[in-house]
Amino acid sequence: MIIAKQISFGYTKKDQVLNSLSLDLERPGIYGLLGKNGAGKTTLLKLLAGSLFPDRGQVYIDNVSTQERQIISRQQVYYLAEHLESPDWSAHRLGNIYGRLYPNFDHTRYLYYLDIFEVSPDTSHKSLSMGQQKKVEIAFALATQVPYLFMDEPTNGLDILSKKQFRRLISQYISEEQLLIISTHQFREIDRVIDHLLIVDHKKLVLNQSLYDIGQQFLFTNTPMEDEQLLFQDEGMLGNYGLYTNPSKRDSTLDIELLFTAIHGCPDLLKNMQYYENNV
Amino acid sequence: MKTTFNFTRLGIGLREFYYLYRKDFRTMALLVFILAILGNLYPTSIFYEHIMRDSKETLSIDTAFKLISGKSVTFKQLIFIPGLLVIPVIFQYIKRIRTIVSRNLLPLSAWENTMVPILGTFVMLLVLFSEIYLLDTAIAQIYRQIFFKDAMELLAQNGQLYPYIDPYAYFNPIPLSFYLFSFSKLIVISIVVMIGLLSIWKINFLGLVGIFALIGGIYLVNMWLSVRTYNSDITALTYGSSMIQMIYQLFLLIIGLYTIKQLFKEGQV
Repeated sequence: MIIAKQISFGYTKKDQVLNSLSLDLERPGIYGLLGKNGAGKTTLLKLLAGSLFPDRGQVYIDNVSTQERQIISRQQVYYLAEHLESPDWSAHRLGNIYGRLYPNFDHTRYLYYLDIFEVSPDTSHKSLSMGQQKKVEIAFALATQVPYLFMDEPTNGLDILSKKQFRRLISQYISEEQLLIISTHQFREIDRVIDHLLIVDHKKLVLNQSLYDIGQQFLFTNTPMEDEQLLFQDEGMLGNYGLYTNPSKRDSTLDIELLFTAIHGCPDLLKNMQYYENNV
Repeated sequence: MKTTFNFTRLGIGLREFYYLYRKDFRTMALLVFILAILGNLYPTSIFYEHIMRDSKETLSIDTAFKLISGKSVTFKQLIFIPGLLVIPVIFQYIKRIRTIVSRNLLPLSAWENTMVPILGTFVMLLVLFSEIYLLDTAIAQIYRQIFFKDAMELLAQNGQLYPYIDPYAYFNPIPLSFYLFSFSKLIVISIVVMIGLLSIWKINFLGLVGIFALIGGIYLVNMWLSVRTYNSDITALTYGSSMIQMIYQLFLLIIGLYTIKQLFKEGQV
């Protein structure tokens, strides 16, 4: 369980990145974290992982403050950075050294993930391409099997096939007890694997809902509706896409891009909704 | 459960340290070897002159005196070369922890992160010092084999029947006490470098004042404990027993390590 209580953070005193943000992630699952450039997605992930400490407020992982930096807490968390961070070792050595620090690390699985990604475990890091290095880091992160896994733009640098393999691994090997947060700009790469959506906007978390609950609240369609209230409209390839209220709980395919554009275009959109995160 | 120190994790940290810096270490070992050879073969050196000299020529009296007096620019200076390795290695290690998020979040405690570079540099220095000692002993033996008999005869012919052979002469390996002295200084330097780097990365005014006060205090106690003479050959008794000196050095080491551990604990990336 991850709880962030009224956290504020700024890299300088004048410029705050996040302001009084609260977050409560009780249920395991795969969360997509979205936000504009500079909205504070990476900062939020670092705060949740315990790499940064909030200027105000606290972050708790399983009721232990991240600022205590307890070993037992850090064994439960893995942060996969956007940029490559591994030393110039072979994937094999990386697993043999750092893997031993995580109690649930599974070396066989690690080699299996590398095999799926078609990366040789004996080649040194610097001899691999950027995409292959990223694959090694993703394979390592998944093999740690930590309860809380944070991935910052994990598909950056991956080719189309590898992105597909990544999605497959995520949906197959993230267990029901694990909580994975994927921060990304590429909505379409994760919309089929995530089951919760987090949106950061204007220094706050404005949405924290399961896709099911979002589907119950909103209707996404390019067919004009008469009974439902139109909340937002956006031009698309196949006509105007509309975001409607969904009082009759009709089924529709979630359009994350439309929802994100609507929230960004109309900051007040969620304020009257019961799901507006800041009302919680 | 608060687990602050674990030998298994320390071992993993040391393996990481070794695999990160083994190339620097090997380069330094090779550099020491090359410098040890060059230090005895540079033009105008005794060996160089010996190789270049006509076989009929004998040893000069100046060379004989040179051989029994202190070495000029060889192993005494070479002992401080490993210090060049300590500073960049510690810098890189701390930089890694302070700038790489996944490394910063590894389940290694502040104490383990403190002990790894200290023990790592300790072992590296120990191996490099052993290399220097073995090279020095071997080269001193070579000097003895080639020059000792001729030098003694030549000195006797010039009235020096019982010449004084300096402990740092070409015929003797450098005394172990000098290695111990240099080794302890390099360890102290590595601790000071770590404290300095960690303080600079996140300047905390009060912390910095505390560190300066501590250094000032250490300096004053050192002044009180040491006795200065104008001649290094004169042995003077220091204040306090050697036990007090040792306890004091241990106290400094513990304070240094504790300061580093506290600085690591505050780390954010």
